[in-house]
This record gives sequence, structure tokens and C-alpha cells, in this order.
Amino acid sequence: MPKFSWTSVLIAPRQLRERTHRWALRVLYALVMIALLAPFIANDKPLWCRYEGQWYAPAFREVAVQLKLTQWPTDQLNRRWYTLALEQELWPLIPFGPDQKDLYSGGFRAPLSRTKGKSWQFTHWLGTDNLGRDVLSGLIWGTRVSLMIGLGATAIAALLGIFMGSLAGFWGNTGWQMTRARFMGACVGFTWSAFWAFVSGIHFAWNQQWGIYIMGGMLGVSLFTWLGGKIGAWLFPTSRDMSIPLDDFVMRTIETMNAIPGLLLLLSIVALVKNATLWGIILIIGVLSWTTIARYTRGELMRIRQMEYIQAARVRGLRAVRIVLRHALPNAMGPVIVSLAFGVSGAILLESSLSFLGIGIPSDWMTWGKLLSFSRMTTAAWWLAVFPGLAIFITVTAFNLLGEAVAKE
Amino acid sequence: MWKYIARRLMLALPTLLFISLLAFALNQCTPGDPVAERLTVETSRSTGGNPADQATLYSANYRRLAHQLGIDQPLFYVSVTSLAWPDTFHRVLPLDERKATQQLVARYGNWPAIQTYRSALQQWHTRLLQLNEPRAATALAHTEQLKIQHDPARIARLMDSLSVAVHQANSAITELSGEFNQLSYAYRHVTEQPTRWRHYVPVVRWYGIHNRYHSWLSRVWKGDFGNSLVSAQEVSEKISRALRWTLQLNLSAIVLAYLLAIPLGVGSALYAHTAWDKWLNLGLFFLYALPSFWVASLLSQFLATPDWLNWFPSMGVGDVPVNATVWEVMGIRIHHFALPVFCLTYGSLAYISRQVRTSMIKILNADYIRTARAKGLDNRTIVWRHAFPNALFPLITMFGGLLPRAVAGSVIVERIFNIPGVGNLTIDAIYANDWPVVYTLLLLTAVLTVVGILLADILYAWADPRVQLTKSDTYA
Repeated sequence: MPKFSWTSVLIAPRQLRERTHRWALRVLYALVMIALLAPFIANDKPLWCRYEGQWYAPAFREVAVQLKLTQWPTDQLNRRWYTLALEQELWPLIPFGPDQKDLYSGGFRAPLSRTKGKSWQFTHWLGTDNLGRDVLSGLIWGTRVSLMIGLGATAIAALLGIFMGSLAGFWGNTGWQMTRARFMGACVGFTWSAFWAFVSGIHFAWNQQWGIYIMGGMLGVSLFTWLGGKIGAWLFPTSRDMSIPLDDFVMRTIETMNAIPGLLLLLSIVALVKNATLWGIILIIGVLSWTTIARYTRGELMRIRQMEYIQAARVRGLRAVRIVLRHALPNAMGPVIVSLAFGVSGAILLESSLSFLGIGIPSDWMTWGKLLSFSRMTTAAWWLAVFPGLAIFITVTAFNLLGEAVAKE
Repeated sequence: MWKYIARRLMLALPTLLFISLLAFALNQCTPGDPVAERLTVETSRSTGGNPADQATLYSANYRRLAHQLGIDQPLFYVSVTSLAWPDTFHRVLPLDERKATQQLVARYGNWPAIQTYRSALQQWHTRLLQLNEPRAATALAHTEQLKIQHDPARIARLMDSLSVAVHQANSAITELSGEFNQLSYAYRHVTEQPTRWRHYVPVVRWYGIHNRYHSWLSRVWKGDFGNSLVSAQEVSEKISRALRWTLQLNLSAIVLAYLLAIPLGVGSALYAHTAWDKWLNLGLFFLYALPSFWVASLLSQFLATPDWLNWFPSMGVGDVPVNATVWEVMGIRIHHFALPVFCLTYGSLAYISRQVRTSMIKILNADYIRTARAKGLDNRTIVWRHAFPNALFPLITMFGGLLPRAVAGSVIVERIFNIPGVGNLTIDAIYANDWPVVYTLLLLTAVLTVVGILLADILYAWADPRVQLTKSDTYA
């Protein structure tokens, strides 16, 4: 296994040995570009147009408004650009928005049907759904949700999993030692500060900023835990050593997490949270799926910590954290990246299942699963059954193939 | 062996405990007031009579039902709170008032004053109802709002409007000014003399076994999962009816997958690295990546509709005539189950056969197989007597996943093919906010997973005694 470096994450497809893997990487890059550029590929606003003697760039302005850089002038706020008689115009490749209902032709238009639009460009290449929304545009915007959830959830899972896996694999049951006094002090500090932060301090969280409140609380708790340990060690300097069974702790946690049925738990949590945001879904999926990554990291680090160069680093007196971050983890990345790739495709499948069932994913996002679920409304709309599923399949296969590529090369 | 089993059982206990806590906690987080929801059905008939009597009757009914459901019990055996909270806070009823009171305590921390305020409010409300004065309808509505309000600005506004209603000229409720003055005095006492320091003094209280978790757990232990909120049926009855179809569906899919996958895996291991094996591998890889809900949608779109090929029925499990023979029943069922079983089979088929292939290849290269060849055994004996049983070892670990999959492995496929099984029940329950059903299913599946993993471990230790010797069992 070659040494891992962060620049190697962005590889050129031609560096891969097998043709299928090269194609998988190209597809992945294409998907990322589609997701990033969705407003300029499929939009019901022109990229550039001239109307009543004025030049406008509505698609660009829309992106700027979404980024909160600017606001719509009041006269343009609800302007339907595609109905106007523009003097000059340049439209995106697909001149339909994902939520734009085709009011002229109604729902369930077959692929290649022209709308009463301006030119051949206003064709529903892949048909429309029940409300007359363009399927191709929905697929393009759905790429955003799928990649956001797939990559975001896996990023969270990776952070958690690599952290827990390193604790279990590198330190094991005996690697982390401290005096009993320090341990007791830390326990007292933890309990006390957790009480103050999350039981008595709960009335600080009135203004509903739970994110900041919880983050601040956790920061405070870790500070007090550290301080408690310091005080304990200072009070009883002659206390005996003990070791913290990190490996047992992590493995029991993983076992417990694995015993809980993922889809069912996700469904029941998501059903509880009314008005869930996309970030909330990403967080929940990430927190529920770190165990595989942790197990791979643990296995690799258990192997690596026996190696001579780690012994040498220890003898040189390097700090354990530094050894893990700089010397052990980079060499453990191979199998972990394989599990990351499969994690992304798993998360994308999970997201598609959720939106297929219509549970959890906020309704203002168009997703592949949602489009696929519209096919169940009528038996005639075969295009709704074929294309969204094909998009899911291609994406999932690309990530699986990439995982295989990392495993082989 | 027995020692190993005992140790594994001990390790499974904390997991089971955690699962029960999780299901219980999620159950407590459900929105809505379970008592009020049940009460609306029960008391809609009792109309007529004085409004004060009606209110008393309602609150008595509420308390009775809340007591039956155990809502007036503490949550857990032990509680860690602060000095600001009384040890009887769980008795504050109804639930929406409890929520408002909770916010008040969190804000001001002076429980005695809040208690005085609440009883003054109750007194005022009762007197207002007893007056039975049509002109005081607004005051009554504001009082009811006041009971569930905790925001200081809103409370102040409601108090002002009540004050105007009492003190204005020719008011209908002038005679209640004494009660109102008490109420506003009590509220001022709450806001002006807060004791927030009490929040910072921890208090640990022990409640014993009369708590909600204990009574919930003992009911679950006896197999009583409560009633569905939607149809008032028993949850266990609902689930067992759905379980019949799900078990039929999943068990046939699992059996079929193993029956096909094992010969495929062994075959591709025997012909490893030939063109045939390569193509099979590629095919299985794509099969594994095909999302089952897409395949199910496609099949129900193209093979089960009159617009395309109408080969299979698209809905449900089929009606069986009364005097049908066993063969006819089987025919109908197979006709209905063919597509869903296919969708459930192909994914695990690909996975299992790849597993079998990997472990078979590893074993065919082992030393003892070479020895067997060297001593002149024929190929069939080597493959089936010596290599094959050992190649099945990895399959034992997969047994752990079978139990939960048999129960909850077909949520979306059941949904698409309208099979009235557990998966369909789950989704319906989630749509209808039927929480007892949802969390019973979660609990059931989680417990089955633990049992499955336990069985797989024991089976593995029985098949491969070396496992029992390792000190910490890490089947990572």
C-alpha cells in the first residue's frame, strides 16, 4: 500500500489501471460538476437576456440571492422570464427549473414532447412528472441532494469512525494510562460540568439556538474534565496508575449500534423531527453509519502499531497523538477509503429510499427517489420509473467501482 | 463451551438494556398528548350540564386516564435534577400545562411561588366557569391560554386584558376582582423573586420501581405492547398478522438466495480467473449495485400493468377461494410473490456467492488441500468433502443478520408490491403517527438482531473451537 497523501484524493482518471475504474472516476467528476453547476445547466431563468432595453443575468442573480449576497429588485421578484418577449436571450441547456410546473401541457408528458415554448430547446427530453415538472431538470438538481447527503454523511461518519477506530486500535485496552486520582478528578469534573451545562443551563437555550448551545456546552465540559483531572493529579501526586479500556468501550459501542436496525431507526427518528432540514438528515445518517469505518481503522491500526517504525517513533519520544496522525493513520488509509466509498453509496441509497417513501427529506428539494416515487401514481409514465433509478444506479455503481479501484491499486 | 455461552450472554445484556432505553426514550419524545388524544374519543358524548361541572368531569377523566397510562409517574428509577425542581413535578397535569410550568421553573427557579400562581390560576378559572356568564367568554378564552403560556411578554398581555375585563365599568365579572388580584399578585411574586441559584445545586432522587420505564418494561416483558393509536387494536395482534406475510416472503427469498448462491460461488471458485468467472463476477457486481426499489419499480411498471406485459398481479397477496386445494393456494401465492421474492433475492445472491467464492479460493490454496491432492484423492472428494464445509464458515457470521432481515428486510419492496406485511405496516404507522406500532417494531427488530448475532457467535464457536480460547471476542 503506497503512502497516502491528501493530494492523491484528486487523481486524474488516466492514472487508474483498469478501464472501468477510469470511467467510474470520470462519472464521479461529471456528477460533481453537475451538482455544482446545476443552476446554470437547468434553470427557468435565462443566463443572459435583454428585456425592454435592459440587460439582465437572472440565473446568476438567483445564485447570488441564494448565497445572500444580494436581493431581487421588487419588480423582478416574481417575474416569469420564460413568458416574457425577450429581445435577446441565452438560456441554460435545460430551460426548466426543478419546481417549475408546465402550465400549458399538464402533467405526465412523454419524453421528447415539445412545450409551447420558444424553440426546440424547450423540449422535455425525459418527459414530465405528475405536475408537469421537467424530469431532466429534476435529475440535475437531484444530483445536488444525493451528493450532499452521500458525501456529507460520509464525512461525518469518517470523522467519528476514524477517531473511534484510532482510539480502539492504537491505544487498545492498555495503551492509555493515567493515575487513579487523575481519572477520578476527570470523572468529577465531567459529571459536574455536564450537570451545569445541560441540566441547570438548559434555560439558556430558550432562543432555540440548540447548535451553538450544545457545541459550547461540549467545549465547556471537555475543559472542565481536563481541569478536574489536573486537580486530581495535583491533590494526590502518589496515586497508582490505571489503564482505560478504550478498545472494550469502542467495541461495545459498535456492537450496540450494529444491533439497531438502521433504516427503521432512521425512519422513526426522522418521522419524529418535524420540519427536518437537509443538514439534520446528513447528521443523523452520518452518526448512524460510522461503525464500519471505525472497525476498518481499528483493524489497520492494530496491525500498524506492532510495526518497527512505530516502535522507533515511540523510542524517539514522539507524542502518541503525533504518531497516530502523522505516521500511523496515513498508512492505514487504504482500507478505510474503500469503506468510505461504499459508505457514500450506502448513504445515497438510504437518502433515495427515504425520499422514495416521502419521509424526512424536506419537500423543497427535488430528489431522485422522489421522482421515482411519482412513477407509482400512474402506469403510463414509464420514463419516471426508468430514468431516476438509472441515475441512482449509475452513481452508486461509480462509488462502488471507485472503492474497488482503491482496494486493487 | 458453556463458559463461552455464558460470557456472550453477559455481553449481550448491556446491549439489550441500551436498546430498551432507546425505544423507551424515543417513545417519550413523540409529539402530542396521548391522554387528550384518547379522551376526545371517549368523552365526546358527554354534553350538557354546567360548564364548571363539565370541566371538573374532564379533568377527573384526564387524571384517571393519565394514571392508567402512568403519565403521573416519574420517568426513571433515579433522576438527576437541581434544587429548583420539586420531587413531585411528574404529577403536574395535564401535559400542556406541565410543559408551560416546566418553562416557568426553568426561567425563575422558584417552585413554591409558581405553585401558588398555578393554584390561584386554577381558582380563578373555576370561579369564572361557575359564573357561567356569556359576556365573559373572552376572559375565559384568555384564561385557558394563560394556563399553557410561559412566555413573559404573552403572559403580561393576557394579564392586562383580564385586568381590563375585571376592572372596567359595568363589567360582568366585577365580583371576581378579589380572585384576580390574588392571581396577579401571585404572578408578580413569581417574576420578581426568582431563585435561579437553585438550578446550580444538583439533587439526585431515587424513585424506586414505581416509574414509567419499569412499568413499560414489565408490560413489554409480558408481551403487552399497548394499543394502536389509530385502530385501537392491540399492537401485538397487528404485528403478528403482518408478520405472517413478511416471514413467508423473506424466508422464501433467503432460502432461494442460499440455494442459488452456494453452487454459483463454488463454481466460480473452481473456475477462478477464467473468462466465465470474470463475466459472472462483473454481472454479480452490477446485480449487487442495483437498488432493489428501482428494480421493484421497473418490474411492477413493465411486468404487472395492462399497458405493458400483464404477467403478474401488482397488488397484494391474492384472494383465495374458500374451497381451494393446497396446490391452488400455492399457485396463487407464487404468482403474487414471484416479483417481490426476486427483488429480495438478487442482491443477497450476489453478496453470498462472492463471499463463498472468496473463501473457497482461499481454502483451495491451503496446504491440506494440496496434501489431499498429493495422496491421490479424486477432485470431487477434495472439493465437496474437504474444502466445501470449511468454506461455509464465513456464512455462519451472516446467519446473525438473517433473523432481523426475515422480519424487517423488505420495507420498500412490500410497499411497492402492496404486501400487507411488517414493512408496509411500519410505513403506514409512521404516516399516521401511530407511535406504539413504530417503536414496538423497532424494539422487536433490534432484539432479534442481538439474538441473531448471539446465535451466530455460538454457532461459530461450536464449529470452530479456537474462537473460545481467545480472551476478548472481537469479531470485527
